[in-house]
Amino acid sequence: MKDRASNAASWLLCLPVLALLILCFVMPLAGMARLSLNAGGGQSGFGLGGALFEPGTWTVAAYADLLASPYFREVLWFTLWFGVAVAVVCVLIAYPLALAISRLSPLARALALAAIILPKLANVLVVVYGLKLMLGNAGPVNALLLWLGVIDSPVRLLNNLLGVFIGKTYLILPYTVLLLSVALARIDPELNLAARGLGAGPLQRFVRVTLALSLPGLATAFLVSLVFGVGAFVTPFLMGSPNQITVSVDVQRQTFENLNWPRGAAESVVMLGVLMAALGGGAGLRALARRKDTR
Amino acid sequence: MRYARFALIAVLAVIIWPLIYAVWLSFTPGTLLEPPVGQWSLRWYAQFFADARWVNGLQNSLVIAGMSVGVTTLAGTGLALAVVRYRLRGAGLLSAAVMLPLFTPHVVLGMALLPFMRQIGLWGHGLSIALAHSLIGLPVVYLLIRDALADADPDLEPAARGLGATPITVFWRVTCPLMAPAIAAGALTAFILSLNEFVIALFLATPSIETLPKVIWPNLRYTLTPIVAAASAISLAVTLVGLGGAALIWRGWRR
Repeated sequence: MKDRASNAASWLLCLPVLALLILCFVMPLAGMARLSLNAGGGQSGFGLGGALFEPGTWTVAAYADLLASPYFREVLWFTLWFGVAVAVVCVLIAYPLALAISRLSPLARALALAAIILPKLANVLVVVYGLKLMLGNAGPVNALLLWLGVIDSPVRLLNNLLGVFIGKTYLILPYTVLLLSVALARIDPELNLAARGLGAGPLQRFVRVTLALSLPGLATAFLVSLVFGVGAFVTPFLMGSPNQITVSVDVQRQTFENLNWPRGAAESVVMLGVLMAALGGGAGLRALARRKDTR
Repeated sequence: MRYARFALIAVLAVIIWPLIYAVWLSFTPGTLLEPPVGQWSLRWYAQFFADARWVNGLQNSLVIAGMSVGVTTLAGTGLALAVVRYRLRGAGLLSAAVMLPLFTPHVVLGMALLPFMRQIGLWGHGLSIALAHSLIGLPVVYLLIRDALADADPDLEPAARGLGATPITVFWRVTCPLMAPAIAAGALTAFILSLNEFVIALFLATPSIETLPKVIWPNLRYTLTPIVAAASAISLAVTLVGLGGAALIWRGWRR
């Protein structure tokens, strides 16, 4: 009796969460999947005439268009390649950073983590604005490189692939560092001492204790960075060139410029599918590794 | 080891520097994108507050963030209570579902929300943006409150009942005070996240209801003007005040 009452109470408490998730997540995503199966408005004319989509129709035309379009293949390929590359770069930078932070005193560690999170709590656009100011042809980075004599004339650090890379790395790095810090903090420091006592050198201690034990955290950090990298929108838009379009950028274009909503929806569905496959694959690999461990 | 520490400080400085540089530049007296050296001026701030579009953007952002705080606090507290205190069946599933929007590219969220909000007639209303922002803030609020509840001594509530308190009294006098600091810290975090969220507003905002990031956006695409630096500094200032508040509450609670 009491069980049933508390079960009812708990569902009542969950009502706001359920309402929010259903109203703002489940139903919109389901609607988007349905939208991708509508016939397109087709008229690409900056809002002049034509509908955004034809309600009530059922067709796979949007997906057929995507399959047939070499342009979309290129965009998708760049998006995936970029996501993987940016995730690798982030992990490579974040790992030593997180390792250095994990060895600080508690106060210094808190300060360092605060410094890393701060850009994440600021507006994305503020960070991008700051970066664009820094990286411009007449900006401080070029000025510094010129002064140091590394280069003779200003190099282009913006509106090309390098710009997108720098921007996206800046935006993802805080997450990667945080996740790795958590993973490294979980490692018992006594293990390192024990390894030293058993005669392991610094390199061996790092590879066989610290790195080995942080591998699951490393995998998580890589996957999360990958997901954020694949979803890149603001940096390719503002810091890249028209040659570096991601799926996100193209979705926004289909929505607001081509006004072909079924196509934008279909592109979103494809991207979600790819991300789910990546996350599912990652989770599967981890489960497999764990099973091997316990055996 | 000393080199490692020096390198760490250098890397942290590089991470923070673009933000500091933008704020520094906002005080320039000229129209060029050069940070002021001798002469500082509040000219761009004056221009920000003289332009109705910027001021409206700031106001809308603050109102939407406020609404989002209400939604996330209500939803997050409810879920945390259900999971920790009532041992909800299916809690794991629901907790995971709450995290999902974090891993959905924001453009996909926008693409999904725009047609839906248009259909149910919420498009162009600040509430649609606030609800969507709540998806982003909810995980943080929920995790904070859940951990606070899980850390609290589970015997406190039965003890209060044993001393003759009614369930409602127990809730108000025991459970609520236990959650309050986490709720406050979560609310401030949700406020900051909503204030700074951009992509969702890009899809859901209409010219009649633009958030501050949405007003900044076209200025970043075409030309960079110092007024964006002033807008950046203002939104950073609001964020830092919120963060300071959250940190104070957190410290007071841990003591």
